[in-house]
Amino acid sequence: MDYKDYIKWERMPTTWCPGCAIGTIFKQTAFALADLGLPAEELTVVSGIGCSGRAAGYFNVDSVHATHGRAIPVAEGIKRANPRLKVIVFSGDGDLVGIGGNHLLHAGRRDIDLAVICVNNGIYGMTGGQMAPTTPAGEKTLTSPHGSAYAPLNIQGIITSNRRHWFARASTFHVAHLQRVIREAVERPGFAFVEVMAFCIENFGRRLGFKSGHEMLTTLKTGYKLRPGTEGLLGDGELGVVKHDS
Amino acid sequence: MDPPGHRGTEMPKPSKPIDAHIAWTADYCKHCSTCITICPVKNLEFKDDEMTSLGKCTQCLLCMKYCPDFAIEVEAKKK
Ligand SMILES: Cc1ncc(C[n+]2csc(CCOP(=O)(O)OP(=O)(O)O)c2C)c(N)n1
Ligand code: SF4
Ligand code: SF4
Ligand SMILES: [Mg+2]
Repeated sequence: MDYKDYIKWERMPTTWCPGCAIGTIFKQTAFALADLGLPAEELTVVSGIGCSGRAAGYFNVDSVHATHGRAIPVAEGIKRANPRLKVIVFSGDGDLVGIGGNHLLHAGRRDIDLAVICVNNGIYGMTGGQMAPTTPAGEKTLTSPHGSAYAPLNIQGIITSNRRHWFARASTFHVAHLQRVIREAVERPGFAFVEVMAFCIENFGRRLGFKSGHEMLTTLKTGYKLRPGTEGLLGDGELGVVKHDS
Repeated sequence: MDPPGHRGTEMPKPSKPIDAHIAWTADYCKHCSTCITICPVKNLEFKDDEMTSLGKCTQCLLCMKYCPDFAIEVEAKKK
């Protein structure tokens, strides 16, 4: 299969701002699907609401643009009704770990067979750049003009608190690794969560003084390294996979 | 019936070759300059809003991998 088979071309260009990380993650997902050679008839993508949540409508497969925070339960329903389908959830941090956090807890606990791709730009991008549960401590946003007073939610901790788990952290800069872990997540039977470190230039970066998306992309290059080996949890600034299958 | 995979959607808008290996699609490009910055040999440049190649492309494919908008395609090296 060609990655071009997985895109709804008549909907291009996307609504994403110039240089937004989501486009690169969307493209790497299409590359991963092409590598796996999955026929469109065996695939479904579900998104919630947000800029990242737009993705469901751009994949050339049957898809659902669910209500805010509800991508995971809708995806679980699809999987249970038709277990033959590979069901992918592609959505934002605010959608999946903010308003949808409770669904994440329980789908993870029950190890439901879904691949979740979470675009973590640390912000509610679509609504103007409000602080999210993933906003780094001290970061200035629209609703935390003096810097966020809270530590961000530990997504890795939530997922890996389940006995059986599969968690990956990837970044928009490290594209080869990103593509590989998306592929592994889709292949894993069970709940697979990919946290993709991303950025929002227009509603987050500009407020912090960044001039362009690629300037923010560079911070991912310097801020994140691939972890050597597969032992234990990922440290801050480390990318890789943490899993336990029995 | 539609061929498998396409389901009746159009294929990409026509792209324009900007050198022997690179094609650029004006209809998709948002002028973010990610490709220009990511290119390790500084091969890409905008001239009056048109993408141009300086003829130094090594076919590393990085611009293609990072472009968030499917606006630049590079032919892979022949093995
Ligand atoms: C029930 C409900 N509450 C609030 C909103 C407003 N809303 C739309 S998108 C969004 C946040 C999306 O953030 P995220 O998932 O991180 O996506 P991003 O835009 O950053 O990619 C919010 C709060 C809504 N649409 N529905
Ligand atoms: S508002 Fe932010 S997250 Fe949304 S498309 Fe623009 S840059 Fe991307
Ligand atoms: S990365 Fe893509 S959208 Fe951005 S300037 Fe280059 S070709 Fe255009
Ligand atoms: Mg977000």
